[in-house]
Amino acid sequence: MKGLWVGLGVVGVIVLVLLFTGGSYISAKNAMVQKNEDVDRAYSQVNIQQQRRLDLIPNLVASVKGYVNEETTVLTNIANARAGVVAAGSDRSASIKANSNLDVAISPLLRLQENYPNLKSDAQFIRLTDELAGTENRIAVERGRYNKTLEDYNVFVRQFPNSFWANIAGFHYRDEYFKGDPSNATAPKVDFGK
Amino acid sequence: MNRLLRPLLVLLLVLLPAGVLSAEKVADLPKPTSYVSDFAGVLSPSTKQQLEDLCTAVDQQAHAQIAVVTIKTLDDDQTIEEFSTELEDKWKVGNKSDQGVLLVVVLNPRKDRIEVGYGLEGILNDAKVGGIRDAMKPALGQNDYDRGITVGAQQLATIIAADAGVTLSPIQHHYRRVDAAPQRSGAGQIVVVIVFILIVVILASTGNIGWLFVILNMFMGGGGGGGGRNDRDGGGGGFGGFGGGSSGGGGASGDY
Repeated sequence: MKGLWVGLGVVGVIVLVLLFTGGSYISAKNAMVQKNEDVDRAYSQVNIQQQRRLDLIPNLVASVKGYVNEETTVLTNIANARAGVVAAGSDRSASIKANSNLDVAISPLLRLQENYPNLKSDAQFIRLTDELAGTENRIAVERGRYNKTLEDYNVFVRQFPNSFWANIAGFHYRDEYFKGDPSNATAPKVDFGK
Repeated sequence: MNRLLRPLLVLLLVLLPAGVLSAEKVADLPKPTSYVSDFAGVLSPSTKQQLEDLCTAVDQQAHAQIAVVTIKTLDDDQTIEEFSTELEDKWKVGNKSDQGVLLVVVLNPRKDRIEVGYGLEGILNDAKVGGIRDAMKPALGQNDYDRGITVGAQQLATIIAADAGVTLSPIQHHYRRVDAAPQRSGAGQIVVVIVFILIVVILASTGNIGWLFVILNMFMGGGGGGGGRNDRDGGGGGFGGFGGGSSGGGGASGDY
């Protein structure tokens, strides 16, 4: 009789442990599905704004061309970077890299009016630079939000016991952050002699 | 609770001018008590009232919210763009469909920004907002904040009203006492708690621990979304709080 009770107790403990494990797995997996989806949604938000910038560039370049034929390096850099973004397609890490290249290439465009005062009075150029500046800021905001969402996901996936379940369920750490321009890490040289 | 809070709030408002000498951080700013938050103290009382009326009219008749904010300085590393987005994240200017605009003027450095919520990006695109900024620039440049901000807010209001298909009529002042939010009755709360406990017990006894987490999650998630405005207070009372708008960095900004 005593043995039966012990046996029942052992079975009860096992069932309890199984329930807890199962519950933990289910809740972890559901949370990971949710967070994974959040990351994708945040990224598509970034992508919308990057697409908007991509569409804006041809107009902006066209409005500048009449004033600055000799500024070809700026314009070809932009054209190349833009082509790079288009070529990268939907592959995320390639697209992130190509878009950071475009970030670098496009920044001189917003400063062109310093060298070409005539541009300042061109209404279309002013409106387009407003749009571009606004879009750049949108991209920055959405990228910040995306990075935060991704961090949330990555932290969750790496924490115990989620890390254990994540491996089983196939959720992995995603190193798909937007990082600053690596060339900014070195201090710029200012030469007043020129 | 309210009786205890009110003197504290008054004290806070009195002490505020002393506090703003240091750089403003979004986290330190008090909760908005009206559409116009003149933290820098550059607006005259009459302008403030006019702006307040204008924003109230926009909110009630065109169902979009405009918030005017002036601050003295920015926190060291923060740009006005970051400040505006952070403030919008916190205040949530705009209605449920994100129709909100934030007009921010900083005294030092001399910068201004119009941050447009998602819901208004269609009618207030960056170029248009840039145009409004250009219209504000001359007055702001002469430190005539009253005129500059009024011009900006009026243009925003006109565009919003035109899109909503209404002509803004001046609002009437009722000075109606705004009732406190209706309290949920004690009995109702007890029932909710009992039902919740029942569900937990049933789920636990049938072994559906996983569902327990799901439901717990739901309750947690549901609780966080509060803070919306109560539309029933909207009669003639004026500012009823901002209502859950959000923005993604749209708009225009620059020096003045």
